Amino acid sequence: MEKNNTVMCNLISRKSEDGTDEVVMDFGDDYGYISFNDDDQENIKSLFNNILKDLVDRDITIKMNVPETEIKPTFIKDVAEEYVKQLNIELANVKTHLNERFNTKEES
Amino acid sequence: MKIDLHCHTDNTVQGDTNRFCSTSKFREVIIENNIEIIAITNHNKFLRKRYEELKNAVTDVAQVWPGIELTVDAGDGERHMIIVSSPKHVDEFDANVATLLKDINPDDVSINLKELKEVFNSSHVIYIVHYHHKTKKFYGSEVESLLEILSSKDLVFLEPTNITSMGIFLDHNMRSIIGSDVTDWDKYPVEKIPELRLKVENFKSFRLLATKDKRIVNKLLAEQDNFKVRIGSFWNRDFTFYNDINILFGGKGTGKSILAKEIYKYLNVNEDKKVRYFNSEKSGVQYEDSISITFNGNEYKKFNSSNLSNEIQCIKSWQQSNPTSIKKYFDWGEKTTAKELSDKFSFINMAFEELIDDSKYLSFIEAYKNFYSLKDSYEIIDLDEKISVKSKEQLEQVYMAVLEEFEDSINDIFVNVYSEKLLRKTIDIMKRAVLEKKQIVSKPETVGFYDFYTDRINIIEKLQKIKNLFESNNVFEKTKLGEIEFKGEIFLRKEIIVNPKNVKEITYSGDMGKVKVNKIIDCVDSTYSSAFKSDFNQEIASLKELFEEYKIVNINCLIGRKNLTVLEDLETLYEPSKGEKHMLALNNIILEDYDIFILDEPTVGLGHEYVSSKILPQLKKLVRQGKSYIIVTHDANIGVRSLPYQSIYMQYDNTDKDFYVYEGNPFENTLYEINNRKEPLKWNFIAQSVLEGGEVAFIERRKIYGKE
Repeated sequence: MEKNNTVMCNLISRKSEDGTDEVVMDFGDDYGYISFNDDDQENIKSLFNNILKDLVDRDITIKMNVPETEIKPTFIKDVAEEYVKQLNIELANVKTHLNERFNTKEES
Repeated sequence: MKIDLHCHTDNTVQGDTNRFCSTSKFREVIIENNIEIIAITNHNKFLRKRYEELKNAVTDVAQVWPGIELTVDAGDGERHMIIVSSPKHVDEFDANVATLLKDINPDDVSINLKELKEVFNSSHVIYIVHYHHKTKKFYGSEVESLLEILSSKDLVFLEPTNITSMGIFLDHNMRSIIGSDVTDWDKYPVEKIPELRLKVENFKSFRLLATKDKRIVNKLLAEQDNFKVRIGSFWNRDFTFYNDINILFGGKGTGKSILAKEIYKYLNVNEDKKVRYFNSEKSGVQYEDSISITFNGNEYKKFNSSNLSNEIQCIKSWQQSNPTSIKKYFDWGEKTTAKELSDKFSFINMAFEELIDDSKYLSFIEAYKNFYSLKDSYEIIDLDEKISVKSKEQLEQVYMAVLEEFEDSINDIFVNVYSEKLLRKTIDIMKRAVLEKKQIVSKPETVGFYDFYTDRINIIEKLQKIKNLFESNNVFEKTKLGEIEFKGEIFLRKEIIVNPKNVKEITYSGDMGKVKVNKIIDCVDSTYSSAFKSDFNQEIASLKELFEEYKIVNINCLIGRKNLTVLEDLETLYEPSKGEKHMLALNNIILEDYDIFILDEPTVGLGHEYVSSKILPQLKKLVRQGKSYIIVTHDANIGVRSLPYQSIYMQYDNTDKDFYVYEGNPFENTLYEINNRKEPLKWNFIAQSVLEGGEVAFIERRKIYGKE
C-alpha cells in the first residue's frame, strides 16, 4: 500500500514503561518516537533509519500535531516544533541529494 | 662475424642475368646484413677495377677479398671451384688468374685440375669446391683427386647447399663453408651466411684458423671475455671460462657434476655476477616451481583498483554517528523560556543608592551599655547613707524607666538596620539566580539527519568499491613456458580471480579459501543492498565481524589465483608429460635473470631435434645478450654444435685406474691434459666417441650426405 508523504508527529504526554511521566514526539509505529525525558540517541537513530528507508522511495514531510492537553513544561511544544521544522529542512536536502545521486547513476 | 666467400657482382657468363650490383647497392647490403668479410667471386673472370670500386665502397665496414668462381674439368664433367685470395696479394692473384685464363671467353672456360697446380701461392689463397647437392658439384673421389694435385699447404673447403649441411661437415672436422651465391641483390640470402665463432682480423688469420693453428686460436680466444675459476680440492688449479658456451663432458662417473658444483660454489662466493645452478634431475621440481602460484601483493592493480585497505578499515571502524541529542533541544528550550521569564523580573536591575548607616545603631548600643553600667556605680556609692530612702526609690524608678526606653530604642534600630541588610542579600541571591538562568544556550543547528545520511552514503560508497571489484571480470596473464614438439608453444595462464563464482580450485594467500571469500562477498552484497533498509546496522555489524575474524586488512587476501598450462590459444588445457616438463623447465631456467648458468645435463631426455633447433639457438641468442653457460653434457648437439670456446673433458683411464682432466677447444681440435700426464687428444674424436648422438649420428650423416 502506498504510503502518504506526510508523516504525523504527535507531541504527547504519556506514562513511560517504568511508570513515570514522559513527553514524546511520536512519529507513529512505522518510525518510532523521541522522548524528552530520556536522552536515548538509539531511539533517534532508529527513527532516522526508518525515515531514510522511506525517503529513498518518496518525499517525506513531517507534520507536527499538538493535542489539546497541556504539555509540561510548556516550552517543550516550541522545542518540538523547532525540531520538526529543522528535520523537514534536512529531509528535503537529503532527498535532493538522493535524487541527484540516483539520476547520476542512471546516466552513467 | 658474418662471412660470405661466394658472391657475384657482375654478369660475366651467359647464365648470369641479374648478378650485377652497383657500389651503392653493394654497400647497402653489406651494412644491412652486417657482413664483415665478403669475397667477390664472379664466374671465370676477375674484374680488378670493379673489385677496387666495391672494396673502396665498404672499406669502413667490411673486408672485401678478391676471388673467382672457376669452371674446371674434374675428369668426369664440369665442376665449379672458387678461389679466394688474400686482398694483400690481389696483384699476384690478378696476374695468376690472367695466366690461367689467358684470353679464353668466360663461357668457354674449363680448367683442367692439373693446370691449377703451382699457379697460386698456397699461403695466399683458399679453394672452395661445390659439394653435396650444389650444381656442378665435386664428388668425394674428385675432392680426393684435387687434394692430391694441390700441395698439403693448400686449403680446400667444401661448399654444400645449406648451412645445416655445413655444420655437419664441420662436425666431421671437414672444412666447409657456404656463401650467398647471390643471384639477385634485392634478395640477398642472409640466412645462408655463416658466422665465424672467432673473429678474424684478416685473410691470414682466417687461413690459420681454418688450419686450427694453435697460436691463432689462443690469440683469438684470449680476445674473448672470460673469467677464471679457482678450483681447489684435487684439481687445485684455475680454469678459464668464456662469456659464452663452455662444455664439461666425459664418461659417467668421472666427476663432472662434482666439478660443476665446485665451479658454482666458487662463482657464487667470488663473482659479483648472479650464478644459477641447475641439475636436470631437479627438472620436475623446477617445472612445478615455474607453474606454482605466487602472490605478489599487487594483483589488485590488474583491476585498476587500489588495495582497498582504506575502505576496509573504514568499514571495520564504522559507527553511525550520533544524531543531535534531544537534551540539547530541551536545554535550549528551557534556557530560552527562562530568559523570557527573567526578562520580566525588573528587580534584577535594582540598585541601592543609599548605604545602610549602622554607626547610629552602634553608638546607641555604646550609650546603652554606659547607662546600664550606671546602676553598678550608684550601688558602689552606697546611696543609703547619702540620700533618703524615698529619693533612692525615685532614682531607681527613673533609671529603670530610662533603661527600658533605651532597650526599646535599641530593638527598633536593630530591626531597621538588619531588615534592610537581609533584604539586600535576598535580592542579590535572586539576581544571581536569575542571571544564571539567563545564560545563553544556542539552538542546535541540526537535528543530525543530514549527517546521518552522509555517514551512510560514505560507507555505501566504500562498500560499492569493494562490490565493484568482486563483480569485475577475472583477468589472466600469460607466461610462455616454452615449446614442445608437435604441440607448439605452451603457456602458463595465470588467472587472477576476484569473482570466484563458477571458478574451481582457486588458491588464496594465507589461510583464506573460497568458502570464506564467498562469505565475505555475500556479506558485502547484502550489506550494500540493505544500505537504506532498517537492517543495515545488523548487516554491517556482520561484515565487520567477518573482517575481524578473517583478519582482512586489504583486498589482497580476497583475490585468488589459478594457474593453468595451456596451448597457444590460451584456452586448451595441456598437461605436459615428464619429458615435456623437463623441456619447459629448461626453457624457463635459461631465461632467468642470471649472468652465469651452470647446467648439469640440461638436455637429458630431450630429443636431438629439439636441442639443436630450439635449445641451442636459444643459448646462442642469450650468449649474445651477455649470459654465460657452463654445461655438463653428454649431448653432441650441445657439445659439438655450440663450438665451445672452452671444453673440459674428464676421463677415467681403466688401465691405470686414474682420473684425467683435459682442456681444449674445437678450433684447435685438441684437448690437453691439464697436468701434462697424458698426450693431447683430438677434440673431434673425443667428442664423437663420448657425446651421445656422436658416432652414430656421424655415421648416419655420412650416409645421408653420400660419404661412405
